[in-house]
Amino acid sequence: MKETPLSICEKQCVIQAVKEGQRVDGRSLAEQRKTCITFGTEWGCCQVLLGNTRVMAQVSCTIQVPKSSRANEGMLFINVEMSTMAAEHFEAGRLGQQGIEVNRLVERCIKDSRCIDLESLCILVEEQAWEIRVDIHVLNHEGNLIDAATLAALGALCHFRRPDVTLDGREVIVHQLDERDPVPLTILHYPLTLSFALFDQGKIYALDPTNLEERSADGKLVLGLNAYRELCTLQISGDGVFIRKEAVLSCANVAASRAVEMVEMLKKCLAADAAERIKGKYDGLVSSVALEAERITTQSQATAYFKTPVHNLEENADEESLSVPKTKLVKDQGIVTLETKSDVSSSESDIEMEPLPPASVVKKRVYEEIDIGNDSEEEPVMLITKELT
Amino acid sequence: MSGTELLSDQGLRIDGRKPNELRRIRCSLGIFAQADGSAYLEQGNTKVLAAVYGPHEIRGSKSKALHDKAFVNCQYSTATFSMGERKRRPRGDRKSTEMSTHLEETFAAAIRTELYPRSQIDIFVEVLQADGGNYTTCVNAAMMALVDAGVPLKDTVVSCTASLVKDTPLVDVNHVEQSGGSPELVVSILPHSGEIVYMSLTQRFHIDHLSKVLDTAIKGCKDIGVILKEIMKGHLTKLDTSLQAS
Amino acid sequence: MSIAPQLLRGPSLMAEILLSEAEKAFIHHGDDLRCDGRTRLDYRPIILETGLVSNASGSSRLRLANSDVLVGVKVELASPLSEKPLEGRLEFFVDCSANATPEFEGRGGEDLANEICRFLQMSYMSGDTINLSELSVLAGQQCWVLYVDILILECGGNLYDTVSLAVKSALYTTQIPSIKVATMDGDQPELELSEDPYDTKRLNTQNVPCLVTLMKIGNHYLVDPTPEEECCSSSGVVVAVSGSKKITAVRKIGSGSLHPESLVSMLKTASEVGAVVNKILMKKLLEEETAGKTQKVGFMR
Repeated sequence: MKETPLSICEKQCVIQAVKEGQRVDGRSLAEQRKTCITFGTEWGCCQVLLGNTRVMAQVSCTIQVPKSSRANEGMLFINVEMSTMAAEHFEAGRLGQQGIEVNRLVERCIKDSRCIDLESLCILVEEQAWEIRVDIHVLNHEGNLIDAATLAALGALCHFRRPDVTLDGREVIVHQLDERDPVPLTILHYPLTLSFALFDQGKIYALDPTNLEERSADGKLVLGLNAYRELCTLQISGDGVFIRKEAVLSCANVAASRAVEMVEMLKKCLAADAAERIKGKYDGLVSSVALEAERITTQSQATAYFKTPVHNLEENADEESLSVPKTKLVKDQGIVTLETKSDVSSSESDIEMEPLPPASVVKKRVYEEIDIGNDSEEEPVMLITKELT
Repeated sequence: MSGTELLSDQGLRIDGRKPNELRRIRCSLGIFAQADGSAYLEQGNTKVLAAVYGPHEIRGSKSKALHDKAFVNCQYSTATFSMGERKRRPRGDRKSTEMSTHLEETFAAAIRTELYPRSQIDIFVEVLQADGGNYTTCVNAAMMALVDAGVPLKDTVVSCTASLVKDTPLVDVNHVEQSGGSPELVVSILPHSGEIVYMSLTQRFHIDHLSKVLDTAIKGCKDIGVILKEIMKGHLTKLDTSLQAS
Repeated sequence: MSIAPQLLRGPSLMAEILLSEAEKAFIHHGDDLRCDGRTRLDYRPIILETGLVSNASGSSRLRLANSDVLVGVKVELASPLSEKPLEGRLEFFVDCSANATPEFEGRGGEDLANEICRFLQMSYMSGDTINLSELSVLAGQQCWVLYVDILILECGGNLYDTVSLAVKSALYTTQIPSIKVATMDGDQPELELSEDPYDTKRLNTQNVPCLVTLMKIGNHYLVDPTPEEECCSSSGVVVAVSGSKKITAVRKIGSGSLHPESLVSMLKTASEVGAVVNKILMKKLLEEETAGKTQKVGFMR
């Protein structure tokens, strides 16, 4: 299927908002979406929820013959799968250009930065070594697949336990999981990626873009960092991006501090998971389902939370007539309209700042007033109202 | 490989260059008759052939046509005998597809695509010998081929690599330095404005070094830009004199 | 007679050519005088250079007017075929670069590449051409495999000839490292590769075949057809002629038919032309070798 086309007004709305320092979902330019990391019952299964983007990674291992050029090391293979379940334009089975980009970036961040000690995976030099395979499945695409995929892969690798092996002369004995405790992988450092969407010729950058922001942006800057402020990978891409060196350096600084926080969060989640396993009652991925607060329907819901620029809403509720028109966003069951009002009623004052309450609560459609003249008190105002039962 | 082998105590690299020295660049334009523009570029031992066809009508499915600009199609291919170890497939694997995508994005930014709506510009690069800096040589060769073809550009695109060994930034890395474990930063810039069009980093180093490695890479790009401009001028003057003579 | 130009396709799926009726008539009736002034058995000018690719053990670049081919030969150690344990292997791989025409992008040039590859393999199969037992290292266990990789950069007609001449030149310059077998007691003998980069041996390429393409136009046949001549003819033969004037492989190309008598006379002509080409090529290769190390020109002109 083809991707739903992005309309020009949506794109310009996002670009204009970003120029004013606002984002469509109310975050600041350097704020990330809510991140949830959960682990499954199997060792090496990790699911990451970054806003609405959901990615799952699973690690498995087999014994293979090591490569002749690196005979004393194990192997790490990273594979990304993107099916039509995640987004309508993904082809099942075949990785498109976007999929290959995600795959290569995850490989560069995790494999090329040598965060796993591959020499410890060697069993017999030139004959047998562990091959660790990370399969990353994209379950829902709502922007920023690269960060979610890297975080999921890293979480899965940290969580994974491989079977213990002993050498008896030249014979290799692989112990079953109930015979001996499985052994974790040796992780040397924790590399993560942080993506920025670039707007306005690289002058403005937004951390953790949503799908809408990604498609409206000029380009993308992906930084791979670990907790020691070391850059593991870096990529600027996009047709139409021109960025200056200073912008790259400031993005890198912002990303470095975020990376330290993210690694802390990952370590905490791992520790919590370990504690639960010891206790014995372990839900696995079931616990992540309860985190859902919003209903997910088949319609895509465009939620926009713009903050009003100047006036305080409590003041407006008292003063009925205001000749200064305000730009306000109104939500009506999935349809976003941008309206200019000169008057606002108190019943709307809640809607801008909070997420939309479930559909059953919204009883009345917000009405718009079109002020033809200057003073709304004097001239008759046109009201368009519709009651919903 | 430890840093002591890549950079000697006298400050010389494995091939005898100083850290801020580029490899020898040789270039020849217009080598193929049937392509609209073609170029052969050598940077040290890395040899690349580039051919440009276009702008022409969209080949294949018309759904790829963009209503307001031209569609840039690139193919990055390495000859099977180009590397030390024989490569079984010249193109179609993930790395080559990724490189093709990055080439498309770089040139879509540099070519004035708005002048040719609903058409297609093809850029094909073939790496004949790979000795480090393959992608950067491809970008430079493709840019020369575009100039030979006469495709209007917003600005030339120049690309260069930089690395960091023992806290010294090196410019224009070769294969031995690249596979030795040192980080490699690839940068493509528009030399007049100094703006970065493409950047990528492999391996890792501390963020505090980013500024100086980036500076080295940008300086390398500008130097290569100067050399390529001289070559372009030489070629065009030769063309001019031969046209006037006939 | 209509005078509008027609779009024609040559027999080997090469680029489309626009030819007017007048041009076609000249090509058909030209009396031992072709469009570019050659006689029927003349070749176009050939430019040859070897040793361009330093990563390969042997390489050559051959340019026959507008056809440009680059060949690289790499040698590797591997196990021999089970039915031929005392011989080495020769493997061909042809890649049509998209530089030649945009139709070769992705997998577009695969048909042409496979055709050329298969015919080359056929022509080298005869024991008369190249002595593969020279490539054997350890009987039944290890042998040299020569990977001949052909990269087609430009198509200007007569690809078979160009490819075969380039392959012959590349094989002539291929240097195979000398290897000593140090037998150990017991099962596994060890192979010692010589440290000296100049301690190499070369193959005897005297009898390596050259392909000669003969196209039948009207009542006559032409050697080394241009793309226009290829489009005008309906049939032809490609003959692999070894250095000793023997024919190792024949293939008929094109959709037309050939009378058996004309086929026999074409084969005779081909073997004579092939012998002359072989001799001149070997002479030039020897000249290049004795001239010593000069600055490689490559694609810089």
